[in-house]
Amino acid sequence: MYNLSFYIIYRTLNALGGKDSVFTATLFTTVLIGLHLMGVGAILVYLNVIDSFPRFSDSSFYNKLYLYIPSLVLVGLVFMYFTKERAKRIIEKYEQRDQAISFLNVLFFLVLLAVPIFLLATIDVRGK
Amino acid sequence: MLDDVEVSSAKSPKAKPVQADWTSASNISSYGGAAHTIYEKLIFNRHRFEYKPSKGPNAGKWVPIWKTNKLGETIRYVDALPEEGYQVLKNSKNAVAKYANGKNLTRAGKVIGTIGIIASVYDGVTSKDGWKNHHTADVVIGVVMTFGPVGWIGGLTWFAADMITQGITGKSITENLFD
Repeated sequence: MYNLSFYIIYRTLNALGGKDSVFTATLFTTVLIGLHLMGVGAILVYLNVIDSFPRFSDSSFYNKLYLYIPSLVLVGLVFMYFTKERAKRIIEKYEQRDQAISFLNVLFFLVLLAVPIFLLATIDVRGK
Repeated sequence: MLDDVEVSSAKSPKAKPVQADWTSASNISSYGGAAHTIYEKLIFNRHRFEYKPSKGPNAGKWVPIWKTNKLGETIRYVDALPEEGYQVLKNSKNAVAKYANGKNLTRAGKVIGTIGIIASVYDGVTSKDGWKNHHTADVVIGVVMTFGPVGWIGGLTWFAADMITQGITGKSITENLFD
């Protein structure tokens, strides 16, 4: 799922003439994973497994400062997965397929992107 | 008896002075990104593909990091991954280090942008006032600046305009526009 997303982003960036596409595609995949984590959290709130998303501070400034730490950890973890060797393997694997960038695959990627946004937009994760 | 007494005042409540919220959520990552952009584009990029050799006839002078042949043409090789493009031949350790510094600097900017996007989304959905249009704008701007073709002109212009707008109105551009 994330390998395919990575490849689609990589190919898109390359088509747009981007430099350092593997690095940028990895970061974009990080954003996607971050959204999915928040989407899962939203489902947990909806199912009353958790009350609400934790907010570290009422002040947006401090809240965001705290949020930078887990975000940075997430970036690190994703980069540990998408190593240069693995990125190369993924790209080669999808390059060998005739229909890697097919309508269905792109649609799947867009759905992956849209679903967590939809969940976050419709579920009030601030609790009661 | 006291309950029947109505207290009225002709004085209108004092208007609160407008204060710029320099630490609003929408601007933290912008500050970091803008500082990074200023350093990279205005200071570092002046000599991005040049370095100062420590030895030899050009010691202490800015010279290109690319190795050149006898005709003065740049010698490069194609990396295995197409997006890496052409890499510099090892002219010297300093040249390679300078090239790597430039690449890492650009990458650091992208990482700042990425964590800014994630933090903006989280901050928006957990905000007491709920998700507002300026959160959307922050994310869109973050995505375009980090992943899109908008370069330093866009970043700097936005930063300057946002500073001025906050100084005057107390709200960021996106808050003024959308909320």
